Amino acid sequence: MTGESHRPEDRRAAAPTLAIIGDGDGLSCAGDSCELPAAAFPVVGSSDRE
Amino acid sequence: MTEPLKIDIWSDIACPWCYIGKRRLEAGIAAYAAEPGRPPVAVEYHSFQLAPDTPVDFEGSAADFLVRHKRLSEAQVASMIERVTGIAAEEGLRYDYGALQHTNTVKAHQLLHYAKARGLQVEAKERILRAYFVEGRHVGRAEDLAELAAEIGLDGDDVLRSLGEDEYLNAVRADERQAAACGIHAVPFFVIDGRYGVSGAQPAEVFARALATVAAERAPAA
Repeated sequence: MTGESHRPEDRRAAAPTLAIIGDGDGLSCAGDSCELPAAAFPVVGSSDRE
Repeated sequence: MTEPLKIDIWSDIACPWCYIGKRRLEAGIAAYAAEPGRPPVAVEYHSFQLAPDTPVDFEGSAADFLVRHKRLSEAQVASMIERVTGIAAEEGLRYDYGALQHTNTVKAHQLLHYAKARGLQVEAKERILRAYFVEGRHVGRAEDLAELAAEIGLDGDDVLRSLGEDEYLNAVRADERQAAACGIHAVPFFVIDGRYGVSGAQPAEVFARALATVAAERAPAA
């Protein structure tokens, strides 16, 4: 994997129509790592973080 | 009849947060559905491969893979595994990283498409995830996948045929292209009614609230 495609600005540009519900920092895997946060989308609403 | 709320989920098999996210989503759906009169929910899984270059017969443990590919120290990997195993346990999932057989998941994704065509995709997803994370079974080879498929009522011989022909490989690649088009680079990722996204294994209450929000928006037109 490369880190380039995980930049927040890349995601916002690529996904203009999806409003994100909840905390954008949900536990997720990217590339072959499962430690990277997913906090790259604009956030609508809120949630309790872990 | 009320049209169900559609949840499209991009996820991989070799993704510990995807199984945890599945459990949390299920809990969220149960909480959402506890209130009478709400539209039902329909779930569809889509393919996403985190490490498509992984050999089917990778020799070594999941920890070995992370050490080699991420250049992390063994101590860092052990810490990561301990963390995710602990969170999985909170969701009732007993991950066994000592037994886990790391592999390429493209055939497993093809099986998920095969199962979807026969109305058993959710069952197949659960069976494959459990086999991989809990039971230490190999989920990269057609023969092993056919055995798992037969356990949920699919025709094992026909699954072997389908996987041998790569019948659903194009469907897998189409899912991946759709993910890229939506800007999805991390999984699990949940899209509700094609309008709202939930990124990562969020708490169950986030899923319940998201579903309630979409249902409420629909209500005036109902």
